[in-house]
Amino acid sequence: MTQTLLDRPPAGHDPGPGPGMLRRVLARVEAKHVVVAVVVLLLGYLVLVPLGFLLWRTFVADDGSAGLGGFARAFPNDSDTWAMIGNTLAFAFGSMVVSMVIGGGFAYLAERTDVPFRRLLSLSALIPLIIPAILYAPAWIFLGSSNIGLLNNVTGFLFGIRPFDVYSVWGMIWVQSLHSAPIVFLLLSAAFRAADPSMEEAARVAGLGRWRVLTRITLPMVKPALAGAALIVFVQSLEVFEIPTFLGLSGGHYVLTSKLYYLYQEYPTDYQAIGAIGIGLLVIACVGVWLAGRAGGSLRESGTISGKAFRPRREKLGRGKWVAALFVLGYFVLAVVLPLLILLYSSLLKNYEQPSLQALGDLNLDNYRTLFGDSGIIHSFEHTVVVAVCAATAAMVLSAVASWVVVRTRSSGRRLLDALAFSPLVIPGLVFGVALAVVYLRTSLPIYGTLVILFIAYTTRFIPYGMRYAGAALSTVSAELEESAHVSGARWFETMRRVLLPLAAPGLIGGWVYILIVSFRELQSSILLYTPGKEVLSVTIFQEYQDGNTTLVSAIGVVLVVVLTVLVVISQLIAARRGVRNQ
Amino acid sequence: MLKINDVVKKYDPASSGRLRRRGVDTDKHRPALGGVSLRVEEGQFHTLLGPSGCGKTTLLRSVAGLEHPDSGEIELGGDTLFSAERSVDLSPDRRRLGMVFQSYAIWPHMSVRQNVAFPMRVGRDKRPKAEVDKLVVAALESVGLSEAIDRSATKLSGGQQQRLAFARAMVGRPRLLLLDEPLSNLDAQLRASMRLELKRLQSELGLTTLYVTHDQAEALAISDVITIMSGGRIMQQGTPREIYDHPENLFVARFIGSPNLLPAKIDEGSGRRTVLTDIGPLVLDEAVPAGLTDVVLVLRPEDLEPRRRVDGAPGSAEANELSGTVIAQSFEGECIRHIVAVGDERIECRSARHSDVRPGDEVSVPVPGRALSVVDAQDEPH
Repeated sequence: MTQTLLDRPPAGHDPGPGPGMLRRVLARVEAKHVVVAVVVLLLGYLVLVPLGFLLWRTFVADDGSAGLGGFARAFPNDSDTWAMIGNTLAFAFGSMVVSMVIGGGFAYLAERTDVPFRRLLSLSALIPLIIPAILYAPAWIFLGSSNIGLLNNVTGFLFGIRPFDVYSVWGMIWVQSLHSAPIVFLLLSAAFRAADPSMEEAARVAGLGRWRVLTRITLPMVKPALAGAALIVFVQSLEVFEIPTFLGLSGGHYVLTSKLYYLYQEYPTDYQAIGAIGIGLLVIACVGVWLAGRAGGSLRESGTISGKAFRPRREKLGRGKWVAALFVLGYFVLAVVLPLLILLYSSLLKNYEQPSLQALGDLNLDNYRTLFGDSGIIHSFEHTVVVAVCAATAAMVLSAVASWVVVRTRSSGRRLLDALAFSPLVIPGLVFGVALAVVYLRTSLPIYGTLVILFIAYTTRFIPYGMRYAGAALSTVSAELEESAHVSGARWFETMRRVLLPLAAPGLIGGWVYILIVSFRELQSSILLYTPGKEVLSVTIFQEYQDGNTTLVSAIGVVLVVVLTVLVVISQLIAARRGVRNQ
Repeated sequence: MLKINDVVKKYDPASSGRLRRRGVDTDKHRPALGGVSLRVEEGQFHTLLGPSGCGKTTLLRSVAGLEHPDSGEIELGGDTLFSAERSVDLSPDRRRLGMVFQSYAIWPHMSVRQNVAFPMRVGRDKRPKAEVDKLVVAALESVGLSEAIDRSATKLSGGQQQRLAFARAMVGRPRLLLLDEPLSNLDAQLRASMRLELKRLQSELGLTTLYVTHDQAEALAISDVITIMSGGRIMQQGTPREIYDHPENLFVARFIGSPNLLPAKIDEGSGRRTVLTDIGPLVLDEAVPAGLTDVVLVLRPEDLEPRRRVDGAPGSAEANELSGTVIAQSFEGECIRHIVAVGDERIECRSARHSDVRPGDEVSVPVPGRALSVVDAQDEPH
């Protein structure tokens, strides 16, 4: 019978299931199937395994008994718990509303009116990329704290009042909103550009006033984009760790993320309680996704900015023009100029002093000498570069293949794969950090305590960004270009390498640079997963700040801003070239 | 050469949404291809013609290996390309075909030369560089693109991209050339000249060709054999002349040209040569085949030329002459279109551009017996 394995079955005769069948199945397996299967398995492993472990550790105690004890310990029924939950929701919703008003308002001004200084607005949109939250928070402490805040000094000198307090919940909302308004601005600008102005013109012709056109025509047209932007900002404010820790903790205002971090610092670590908080965060985020979904917004869609752009129709603002211009200028100064200047200024002082003529005389480069002489800081910079480059490469490779399956094939599992690849967006970084710690503390693989665990964390967290870039890049390449290569005799791998990759390369490289940028500022999972001696730059900044070296933080910040600016310029250049190419 | 046996393909859930938006009925009980069989002979120019959503492109893509039918067999030159029963489904790169896509699918990151050379530089039978160079030059010469050989492919005009796509599809001497509406993106004048050139190249090289189009004028002008499809089924197959002169069913009669269609009954007493219509009896040159009773008479406007009746002349008593009044007229450049009221029917006629017939004129319209054909009134596509 061993012969049959080699024999070709007689034509027209169905051998039924058996060795012949197996061999035929194997014969039809191509490189394509192997690559796709490996990527799907990797994605599943990266996303699902940590979440599974987290659930298990939350509901099952060390002695093996299942229960909700973690929730009871994480959320004791006292006033502190209620204050924390109140703070969390107030902070997340407050930041969402304020940044929607700022970002949405400026997007409307920039796209639909003749307000001057529109270029300044698009420039400010780069702020979250160039000044990460971990630097934005210290900068605003120098600007808006009740004791040393520069703005308070100015108003105190002019009017005798000191109204700003960044350590309050309102202060946190303010800083977070300024930082996330640009995302809203970008998403809604794109939506306004893609909304056909002739709809508004028709309404004007039909006799509606300017205000009613805005509320009855324009806003409903961009409703999905509004919902998507609100969702992104909400989830971001829910998971942000830097601002609640730098600002909120000094004022005694806990939110879920800072509470989680606080619990993680205690020994022995109560994984059940930490997991309970993590699940609390996840649940709130998922409710947000569901609510936004009902209004047509999704995390997946927001971000891939598409649709054809129409010739803009700009409202004449008339005399209001200069009031609006003042708002634009004021925003630019508050969101961009002052934080950058105060970082630069404080980095040049050994001990922080209020800006004055005398302080100007004290400016020196001591912090920079310390910085470049400190092997710890230099090493953490190197670690960041290594982890960022590896994670960006891995995330782009995985998401390029996953996107290809989603965009090009009709396999039944592609929607599932898409959902899987985008799910890290709703998992707050701290929660993911805890989950990974749980996984790799338990396994014998030598991963915990190395940079590899950070590499895994970054790769997983940033795959959604990779998916956006790769999805957009692949969908600009017509499927017929691939099909014609395939019919011309090119195998799957040749088609990918010689046709698809060269054409999608600009978008894929753009995504790679973007992930590099966000990797440089990643703190939320790093802070839980690093081990001493293996710090990355964001962790070093956090530690130096905790140690009170605030002006050294500024100096590191200035260097980081320079590096990020270079990366952002590169990615903008790539984006511009891609634009030229698509024409 | 190409044998397609009883190919069935169900609608894909993914593509049916797109088709529904274009108004195609994608009922899941009705497949995209409902058991299609056809033969394409060596050297033949075979056209699949039908309205949007009839399954012609699905069939072409199944031959290319870009779609995967649910059952049936596809054979090319003795090799099985697809067989559901034997679970054979060769990937497109193993089928040795040439294909021109509707969008041309010119690779924008390659030069003209690289585009044409690609099929011979990839896959299982790569050829030596010197040979490739020679073949590329020859292919570009035959489509008249020699001077553009080192230009970037994106710098070409629409017509030139079209030629490049042909050169690329033909360069490796494929066993079968597949053309998916290749002329539909060209403007009308260019389309007419490319049509002739395409036919010339195909017959010079003796390439067996399967061609998809929804443009009947194109199909009639260029094809050796036309297969008309609708709703995933074959409605009729034949030479352009057969299809035009002898539609086999009501669908084909309606789809080709814009004929007058009149319900009619067979007069058994006439040896099945006379049909009775609301506007009187008409005599056909050939007897209506047995088995047909309720029929529809197909009268092509281009066979009917109205003539002004001389005043006082009696209404025609002769067979095969209609009389009526011109109630509308339009000047179309090449010809004049008349709508003639005959009894309660409106009959469309054509005349040469210099006709002196005017709206309101009483006219007689001779009906040549050889121009008449009938189809079964019941024969609607399901």
